[in-house]
Amino acid sequence: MLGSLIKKEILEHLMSLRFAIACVLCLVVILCSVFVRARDFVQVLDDQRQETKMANQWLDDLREPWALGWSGRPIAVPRLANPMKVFVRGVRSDNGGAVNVSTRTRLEPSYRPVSSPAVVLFPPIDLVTFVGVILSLMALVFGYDAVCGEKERGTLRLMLSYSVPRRTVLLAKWIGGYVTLIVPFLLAAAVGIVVVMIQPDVSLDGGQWARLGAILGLATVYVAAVYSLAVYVSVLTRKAATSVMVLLSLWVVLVLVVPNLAPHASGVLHPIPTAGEMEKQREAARKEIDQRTRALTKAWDEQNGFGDKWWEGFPWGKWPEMERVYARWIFQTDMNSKARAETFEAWERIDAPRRRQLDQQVTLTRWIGRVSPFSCFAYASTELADAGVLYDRRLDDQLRAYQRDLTAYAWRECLFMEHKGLEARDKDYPDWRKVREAGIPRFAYVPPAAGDYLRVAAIDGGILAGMAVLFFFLATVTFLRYDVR
Amino acid sequence: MFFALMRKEIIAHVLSLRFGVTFALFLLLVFASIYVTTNEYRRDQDEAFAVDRAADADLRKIFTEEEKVEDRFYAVFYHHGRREAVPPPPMSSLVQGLRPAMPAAVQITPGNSRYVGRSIEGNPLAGLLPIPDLVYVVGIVLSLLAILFAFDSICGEKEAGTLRLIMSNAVPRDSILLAKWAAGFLVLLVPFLIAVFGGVVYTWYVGALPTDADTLARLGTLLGFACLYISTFFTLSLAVSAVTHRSSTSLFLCLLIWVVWILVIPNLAPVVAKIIEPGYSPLKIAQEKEAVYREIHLRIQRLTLTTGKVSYGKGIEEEKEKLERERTRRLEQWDRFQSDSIDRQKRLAGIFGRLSPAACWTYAAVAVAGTGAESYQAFENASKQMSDDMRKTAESIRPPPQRDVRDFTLDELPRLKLTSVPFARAAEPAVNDLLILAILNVAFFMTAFVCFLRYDVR
Repeated sequence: MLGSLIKKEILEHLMSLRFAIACVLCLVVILCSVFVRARDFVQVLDDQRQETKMANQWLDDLREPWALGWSGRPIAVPRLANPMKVFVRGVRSDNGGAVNVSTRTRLEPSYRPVSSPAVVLFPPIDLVTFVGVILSLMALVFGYDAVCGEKERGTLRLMLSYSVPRRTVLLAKWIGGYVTLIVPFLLAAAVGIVVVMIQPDVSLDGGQWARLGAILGLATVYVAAVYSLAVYVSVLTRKAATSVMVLLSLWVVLVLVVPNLAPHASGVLHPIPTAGEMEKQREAARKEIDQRTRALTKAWDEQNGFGDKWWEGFPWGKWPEMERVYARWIFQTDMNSKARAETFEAWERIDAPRRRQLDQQVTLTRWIGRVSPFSCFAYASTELADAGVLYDRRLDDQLRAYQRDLTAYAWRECLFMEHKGLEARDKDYPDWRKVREAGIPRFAYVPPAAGDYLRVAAIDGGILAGMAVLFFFLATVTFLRYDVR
Repeated sequence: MFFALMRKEIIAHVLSLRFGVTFALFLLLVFASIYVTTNEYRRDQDEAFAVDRAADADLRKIFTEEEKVEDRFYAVFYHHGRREAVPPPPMSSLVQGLRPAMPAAVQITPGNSRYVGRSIEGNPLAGLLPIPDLVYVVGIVLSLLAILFAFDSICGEKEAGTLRLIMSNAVPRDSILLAKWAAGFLVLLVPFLIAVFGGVVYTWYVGALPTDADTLARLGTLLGFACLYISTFFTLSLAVSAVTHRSSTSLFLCLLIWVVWILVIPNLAPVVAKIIEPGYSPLKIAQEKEAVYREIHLRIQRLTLTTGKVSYGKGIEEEKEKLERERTRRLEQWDRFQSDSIDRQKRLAGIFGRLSPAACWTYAAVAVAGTGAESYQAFENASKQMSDDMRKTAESIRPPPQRDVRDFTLDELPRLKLTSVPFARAAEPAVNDLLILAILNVAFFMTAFVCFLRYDVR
């Protein structure tokens, strides 16, 4: 019985205009999207290879690494181009790029000029937007008249005049509609993946393939949730026009409004200090440390006979007078090195509460957003694609640690430079080379373990599955009492 | 007769569920959108102040730490430069445009500008989806609501049997259609205008929008465009409902057109443009320019070796100048090649995108609001100007033939002078979009009219 009913539903959908539209849209949009995004990725990868080469070359050629300490010239640390971003845009629209790491200032993302305003105003659609917006709209179109449409046409009365259990009718409707909707999508996605695979340079590793599979799995659960909602509303209403009105209004709110407004709503409900306020605090901390350092240096100068404009008339290049100058430079460098480390520590202390508050704000955003199935799908997909909050936080933490290492290294080099000057004059001078490291520290991003991805995506996946089951359950309960006349 | 019909339509709309839903959504969305973008604007302003304050503090620190004037000069002009925040354009409190893609600050040294990306300190989930500004809300949400308002205007009445009843009276068909259009559009427009008015008053109240004549003109034009754009979708739905006989078919067709116009064409247009006019990536151009620099530098270095002359003197200086002129010419060629390629790509993307009214609306809105390509160009020009000013200031402090550096103050360093494009010039590119939207409106209404004249009301 169930099989026959499913067959009837599938045939009905296959012959309809909406199925043809769904097939065409899935194929055209997914293929165009992945083709374009894959091409963009190849270009990003090419650029990144050049950037990494140039950055490494610059570090290799750095003859005076001590200058990193005094001048604070930033090192551009390239961010890995992520092939998963062919499918998922993520929380940052750019792929690759670099972060400038300096020994004096905070981390700064590098900037890429706008090549075409059209790309900024209309970014290419990714798989998440397609599934979240277009496929969900199609799910509503497939399901809005599942029950009330049949009632209006009078076929529901006819069907229920046979000895068919109502729950079987509804289940058959659900399965028939869902299969005809999801199959074109999965086929188009498969063709899209093939298109990506044949692109040169786009290669996913085993973990990335598994996560792409999980994203597609989530997409099917998401569509199931939206389709169940459509069937539920169709059971709740008596006229297809009312059903479609209610569903499209819900769709506007759940897909176009809630996910976009959730971060801003959480910002209002759980405000965190602004960047300006943070900058003020950091500036105050830095000023205090700098003033203290300056006072110590001045006191040292006074003790050692370095008055105002001491350099005028100083016998430069004459020893042993130069030893005094070297001693001054060593003291200054040492003080600066300590001041820099202290400044970073102070900034970390200032930033720590805000980072905790930001984490709370992000969590609140997620929970507000989770009212919408689209948000659940988007949050889980971006995390699985390594393009979400988890990636951002890990990268930031690792870059901060790298900045501390780099700063310590640069100031050790500065000290080495000063000691080298003295070493040249004194054979018994301690060998400062042994304090030097093998080379300038290099940055390498360490991705999270597979379990971390699953943990962050599990809640959203669970909510989506729960929504699908809940809406279908409600539809079944309502349909049992539905007046088919 | 016409007014009686219009009254009947207005009453029918006002009493319907869809009016309640639309009214609530319009009020909620438009106001929420303006509230959010206003807060974004204030946050951007706050960040810009913070960047400027930190940059000034950095410079003051150099002035305190560097004891010698020469060291101070090199630290300020060659190591550090002047960092200036890029403030948000005034109308970005309503229309974001290219603002999210603009740099947060620019660091200028003589002859060189380095753009600093935007802070990564905010809520990262805010970047997952576009900021719901007025362009987004009108372009995507309100266009869909306009479709929902009109998709069954004619075929729905036919299905309900009321169209037959109306036509049995001596009512001209054109009056019915016009009354349907005018009443529906009016009912759609009133909640929108109320919501926008409320939002703009709030924006003015918090000081995120100037109250000068220029802003008022921009705001008025923006609202005019929004009405024309909403009318395009409304008239389209009316035409589709006059072509079809079942409201479900009408809805499918309208939604299909909506998806293609809103989500497919505008997003595919830049891609098609990129395929037709691939161009070089900025990095490749930078590499080519770097290669030119390196080549000329080596040739200058070799001059003394190849000519056997000493590294100074008239002959060698002339050769050097010749090589430097060649370098400038070749670098300019690369710049021209890049800008020509970008211009062609922009033009193509604009042409393809304008197949969709959504792209027309977006381009027109960002142009009128002064947050589009013109504002980006104005920023680039300002940073170039500042870089030149830095060079001139550096030369005035340390004139080239001499080696002495005179003492200087912080106030002597030039600042970024961002000028907004005047309204008349900003609105120029929007004229084409205005024409396209007007033509689409007329075409859809004509289609609806012609089809309705031959419509089988039975």
